[in-house]
Amino acid sequence: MEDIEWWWIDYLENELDSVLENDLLTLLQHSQEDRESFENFRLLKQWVRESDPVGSWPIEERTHRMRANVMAAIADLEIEPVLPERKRRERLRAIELGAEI
Amino acid sequence: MKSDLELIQDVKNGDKKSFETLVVRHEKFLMKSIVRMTRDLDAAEDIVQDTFIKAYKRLSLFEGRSSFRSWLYQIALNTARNRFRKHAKETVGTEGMDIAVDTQVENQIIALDVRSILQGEIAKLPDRQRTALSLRIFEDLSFKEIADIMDCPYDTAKANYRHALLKLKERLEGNSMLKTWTEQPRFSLMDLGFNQMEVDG
Repeated sequence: MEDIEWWWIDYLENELDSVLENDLLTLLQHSQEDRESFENFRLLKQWVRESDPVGSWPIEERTHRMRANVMAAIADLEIEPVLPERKRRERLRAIELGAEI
Repeated sequence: MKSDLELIQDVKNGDKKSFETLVVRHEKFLMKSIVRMTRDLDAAEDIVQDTFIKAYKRLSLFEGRSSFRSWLYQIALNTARNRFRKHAKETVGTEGMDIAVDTQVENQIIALDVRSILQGEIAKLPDRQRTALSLRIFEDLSFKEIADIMDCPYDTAKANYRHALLKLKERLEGNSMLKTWTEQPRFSLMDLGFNQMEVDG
């Protein structure tokens, strides 16, 4: 049962391989039960999309302020340099030794 | 239009203005993702702001093995987790949401019920399933992009999404109000006059 439900989901997402897709199309044409099963997944996905809590949040207003804060913060910042591999290992070793002591 | 990688190179060469272009390009995705997680706009704003600042400082560590967006998302997730560890009580579940129901309009009640049940059930999903579901349905990302963001194989990302959808279907079918949902007319929440509820920012 789970297999066929996974197939319906894959079909819904355009992720099903073409061999199985033909089989599923046959089921959709000839089986009311399978049509309903597929339709339920399609409807569920639609409901989930429509229930997105974010839609009415005033995100845009916040992004302007947030962006200004980010740009102000990085004005005085420098990108941290990557430690050369040898130095990084030496530092790790020193930490390990320190831990042993 | 320059690619993310080109802009990152410009930033590494000292052009801070290019970082603003990167922020504009990815801020909405990050804000929406974190708001979904926190249900708290102030917290999301702080988390996304910290994310971009951390990303700038650590830009030399970005090697382009994943997309810049995936890299930012992972920093945002870690930042959010650290914040919640410090302030566990700031995590808000759907129980705390104030749902304004117009009792005069039956259709709206149905739509709001379905919506609140769905939000509650989505919140109960395991983290990785919820993430895969959100990224796929709300952000329209491909499974390849989801796998990048979740740092897992393609098939795992897809399996998480499938499990999430199956679990939601089972739970809706098991819900007394929606027990016969498969026999209901195929309605859209929008068709029922459903509007996104107002939420104080």
